[in-house]
Amino acid sequence: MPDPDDLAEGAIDDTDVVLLQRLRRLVDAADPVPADLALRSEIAITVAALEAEVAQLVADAVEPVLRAEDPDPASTTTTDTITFAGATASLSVLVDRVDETRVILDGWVIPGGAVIEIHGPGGGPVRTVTSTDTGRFVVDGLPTGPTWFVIRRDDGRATVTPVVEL
Amino acid sequence: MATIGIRPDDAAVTGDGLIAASARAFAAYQEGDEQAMADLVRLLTPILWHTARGQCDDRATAEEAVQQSWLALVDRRDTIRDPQAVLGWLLTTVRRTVWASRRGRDRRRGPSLDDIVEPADPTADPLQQTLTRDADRRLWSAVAGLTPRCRHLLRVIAFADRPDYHEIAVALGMPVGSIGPTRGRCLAKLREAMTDPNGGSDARP
Repeated sequence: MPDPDDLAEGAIDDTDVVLLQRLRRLVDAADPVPADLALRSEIAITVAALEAEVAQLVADAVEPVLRAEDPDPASTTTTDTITFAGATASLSVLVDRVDETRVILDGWVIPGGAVIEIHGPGGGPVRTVTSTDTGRFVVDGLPTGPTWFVIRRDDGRATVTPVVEL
Repeated sequence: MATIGIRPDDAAVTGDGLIAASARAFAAYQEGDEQAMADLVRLLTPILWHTARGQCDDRATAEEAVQQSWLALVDRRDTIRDPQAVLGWLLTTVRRTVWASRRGRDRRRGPSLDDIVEPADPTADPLQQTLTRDADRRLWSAVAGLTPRCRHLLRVIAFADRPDYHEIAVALGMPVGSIGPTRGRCLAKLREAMTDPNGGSDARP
């Protein structure tokens, strides 16, 4: 067996790297990072950076919907209406799950004209949509997964919502 | 914004290591790319978690420390002139935050890996049941044989890449020469413990 001091003074080689990779897997299995820690940190950063208020999830109602174009009673789908309320802004979205990976959001925001940022999972780009004067907006082609919203007003104030699963 | 190719179990995040990848993301953020901060958070949260956990038995305290460190970074983004320094800055901040949290309560520093290796309830070690490979059990007990400082060092650098080891050791307050580019005593001890006295080596995959 090599002298321990010689071993310590040797250059790091591929065997060492593999050993550390194995250690990483063990440690990761034994003490995993909480799944949403990164996401919660991102949201906290956004709230702080925008000096935003945080809205509360007020309602999350799932309703069965009979689609007009598919009147078979056995084939119902559900829509999910999610509502957030903050002191300076509110947001309500109707989540239309087109299929397992794609979602359409049909939404209303108060105040009208606010810009809505949709922050989603997996490092995908942030989608931005501007609501009409009456606060209406539609977003198609969103991926499913953990999602949170930032409502940005003309006066610079912002509201951040908690995460919901689309 | 280029993707960084982050997978939680992928040790080779980029070709040039965690420090280089985080420097790119942080530099972009300093130049106004807000999305780059989300990338940075996803990239570095695992290593920050394991740094906090090496000092802290309580998961909630560790989570809080990581989150607070991110907020501190945003607050002081302009004070970090060299983006290459951002990982070291975060590691130092996490350590200080955990230390400050613990100061009011328990002054004893017990790396949480001790609890995992020798659980309070010997009949309830879920990890033991998941270690189906003898080599893994061997690695686990080899790690248990290290000093707490070595355990902490190796645990943290395991979540980085070879180019990063030296800088991380510095940020963790380890003596010069602890690791990188030479193996150093901690890694040497681990490697030695993984070497079969009969001449074989368990160190290879």
